[in-house]
This record gives sequence, structure tokens and C-alpha cells, in this order.
Amino acid sequence: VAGHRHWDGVDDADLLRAHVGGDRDAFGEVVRRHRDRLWAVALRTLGDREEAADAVQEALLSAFRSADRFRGESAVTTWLHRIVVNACLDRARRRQVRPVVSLADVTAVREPAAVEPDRDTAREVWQALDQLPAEQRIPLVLLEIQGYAVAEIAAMLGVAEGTVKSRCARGRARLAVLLGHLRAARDSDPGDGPLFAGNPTAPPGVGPSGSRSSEGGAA
Amino acid sequence: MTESAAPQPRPGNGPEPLTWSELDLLADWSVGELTGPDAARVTALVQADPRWAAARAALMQAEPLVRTSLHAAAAAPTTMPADVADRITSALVGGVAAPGSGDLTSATQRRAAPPRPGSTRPSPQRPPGRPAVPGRRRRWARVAGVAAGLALFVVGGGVALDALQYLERGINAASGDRSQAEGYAPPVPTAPLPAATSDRTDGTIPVAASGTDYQQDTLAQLAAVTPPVQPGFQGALNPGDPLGDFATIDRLDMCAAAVVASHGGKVLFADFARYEGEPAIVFLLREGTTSTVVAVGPNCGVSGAVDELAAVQVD
Repeated sequence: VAGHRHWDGVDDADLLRAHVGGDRDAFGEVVRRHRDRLWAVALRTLGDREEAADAVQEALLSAFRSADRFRGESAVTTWLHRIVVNACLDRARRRQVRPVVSLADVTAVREPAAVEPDRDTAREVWQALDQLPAEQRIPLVLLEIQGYAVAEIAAMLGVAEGTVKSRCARGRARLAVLLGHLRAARDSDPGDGPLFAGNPTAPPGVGPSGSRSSEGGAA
Repeated sequence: MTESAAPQPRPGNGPEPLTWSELDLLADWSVGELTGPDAARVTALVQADPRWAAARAALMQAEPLVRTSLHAAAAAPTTMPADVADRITSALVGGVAAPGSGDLTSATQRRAAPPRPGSTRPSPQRPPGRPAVPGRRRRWARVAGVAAGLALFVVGGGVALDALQYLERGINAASGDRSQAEGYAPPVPTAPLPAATSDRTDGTIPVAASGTDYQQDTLAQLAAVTPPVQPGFQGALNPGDPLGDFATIDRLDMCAAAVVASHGGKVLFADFARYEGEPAIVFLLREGTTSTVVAVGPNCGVSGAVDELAAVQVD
């Protein structure tokens, strides 16, 4: 507690400068301030506790060592998230077969007063998210679950805001199918048949070739 | 590009369903991220093609449901588990002097290659390209049952320096409550202490300077009987001494942190000694009921390296 008081009023950028200047405690305070959100991002995008721990550790070590290259062009939290998100993205891409997300891990540690979500719904959502390509899953988690703004996500991923919107829209559309919401929507209009075909878990790449949008041009 | 699966024929006489590529296009179009001729084409399809019109209507109805589902999944806040936080803090402490050094061992790497009893255990934090010192043997051994009846003079987790304390030490010191913050009383020495010429250690890690020449089969002794603590011993070290670099608190702390990052547990004790004739610091660590004795060389703490000479685990 004393430690937190010690840094009261010191903003993140100043802490980072202190770290670069040789203060051995400053980076620890930066980590303390942001670790829960970074952890949530890693866990929810990777869906595996150990992978998430490795990704966050790798990212924070990288940040620790490269803090002198932080120029203050973005907030420290954005900078940290960018490093973590990229570590997660790298890991997700390297992984050939992803384990099914463990709801127990994702929701294991909760604040006591947290509202309990419907576990079945949450499980279905996480399993569906796990089937999305990492390029869609990560921005979608950041936007819809972690609550970051599109501009923040774009900065984290180093892509245009339009790319983030596109990836999220595609991810939502696929989730709609995976979660059965599209079927439910059509069930209210009997007489119509299936709207979408193919296997959403094995799309031919993230997006159709030739489609424009931020992801590529039209079919 | 081919689709992963062909469009399924629609039962009855209705339109063919959209393919996944078409769904991506529709999703892009719905958020205004389709431009130029593609946007015009999809607009035309949505207006004139029953397949696209039905798909658009369904997607518009489904989107709020998807968002609701995602928000429900987000209702449980996630905080970093303590063990992960400790592990990351330890890794950061191990990397204190390591800008540009290699990555620390990850959890997945550790899972893949756990220490094996009786096997050589190279230091995972040796700087890349740094050759092993000729004649130095990195050893790992486990001594079972030795813990029973051990007469430790330094006991209890309160004595230990763990990684979080390391990071918080300065903060707590600044609060003016150092002894409480560090949470331990100095261990009682078992023999008269030599006079210290100066005291550059903050006493965080109890230090002895037994000069014992440990061997592989005698290393576990440190877990049984610790030599007398010598406060201020480090201050007497000279830069020319084999372990003279450890005259500063920081350097010993960095070394200890590297050892903790490699072996886990908490540092209970450090003995300035020798290992098989070479200058060495021998650390005693404790994790749960398991003690570990680690002998390290003069490069311990340089760029996060452990410079491990040998280690023995004592159950």
C-alpha cells in the first residue's frame, strides 16, 4: 500500500522515464497498474492460461528492455497493449491447433461482486470466438469484451481503423452463425432456408480474395 | 480463391445461401468498409437479389444478439492470478540488467524441459553466445529425505526475498518502515562474527562468508546447517577479489533475482564460498517444503545470467 502511495500522482509516462533513468521500482509500478487489463486481453484472445502468461511475460520483458524507445506518441497503456496484443497475435498464428478455450480459466478469477454471467452462454461465446481467425478474434475481443475504442485497437494492431471495423464486422457475422443467432433470426420468418453455407471454422483465408474493404477486394 | 465448402442447396425453392466469402463482403458493406465498385455491387445485390436481401435482414437482426452475447461473456472481470504476477515479476527482476539479452525461460519451455534428477542442468539465462567456462560442471541433483530433522538457522518465509519484495523494497524503504516491510529479523549467528570493515549491504539477504569449498556431494549441507551470518561482509570485498563485483547490494540482488527466476522459490541465504575450488556464491532457496541449494559463479546477475555451477534440491 505504501508503494502505491509512493507513486500517487505520477503518471505512466513519468514512471517509464524514471525506469529508463534507472529507477528500479518504476517499471514494477507500471506493471502493477496495467497487468490485469493486459492479462485479460491475453487470456481472452489466446484462451489458454499458460500461453497467456507466456505472452504477457514476453511482452512485458520486451517493454522493460525497450522502454527507452517509447516516444510518448501514444499513451503508455496503448503502447503496452500493442506489445501484448502483438505477442498474442504471434502466438495465435504460430499455433497450429488451438485448444478449446477453458471457461474455467477465462472466468476463474473474478471480483467477488461481479455479476455472474450465464455460464452456458459464456462458454458458447468463448468456444465460438476460439473458432475465429486470430485476425478477427483479437480485435473483436478488444472491442466488444474489453471495451477499447476502434482507434485504440487500430493503434494497438498497427492497422487502419477501417481494417479494425472490417475484421470486427466479419467476426461478428461469423459469430452470428456459430452462435445460432442467424438461425434464430430466420426462425422468426419460417419458410426461408439457410442463409450461409460453408464451414466457418476453416475459411479460405481471413477474407475473400478480391474483396476490397480493409481486408481485400471484392469477389 | 475457393470456398471451404460449397454452398448448400436450399431446401425448397428459395435462393441459394450466401457463401462465407459473400458473408464477409456483406459484413464489410454493413459497416461501410466496402468501397468503390465492390460497394456499388453489393448495394445492388442487397436491393435486387433475394439471397442478399434476406441475408442482410438476418444479419441486422443477429448483430445485437451477438453483441449481447459478447457483453455477457465480458461480465466476469479477469484479474491476473497471483502466481502469474509473481512469475512475471520474477522474470522482470531477472532481466533488470538485461537489455538486449535473450528471452527468459517461458512457462511452456519449462514444462517441456523440467529439471531432471541427476542430470546436467545448464543455466537457462546464460547470455547468448557465452561459452561454458572450461572445467565448470553444471550439475543438478536431488537429495531426498535430507530435510527431515534439518536444523535451519534461517527459517520461515519472512526471511526470504521474493521477487515482488524486490520490486517493492525501495517503495517500502521510502515509507520509512523498512524492517517491517522486509518482514524479517536477522537470523541468529551460530558463531562469532568477524568485524565488518564497512557495511554496504542492506541486509536483505542474510550473507555468510564461510569460504567453504563445496563439492557436489556436500552442497546440500547448506540446507542443513547454515554458516554464521556476517553482516557487512560484502563491504569488505575489493574490486580485485574474485567475487568483488558483489560488493554492491544491487549486484547481489540481481544475482539472487536471476537465481529465483531460474529455480523459483525464495532466497533464504547466501554464502560467499567456493565450489570445487572456484569462487562461488551458494544460495539457499525455499519453496514450500523443498529447499534448493544453488552454486553460482562470478558472472551471476550479468545480463540476467545465473552462471550456475551446480544445484541440488533437498526434499
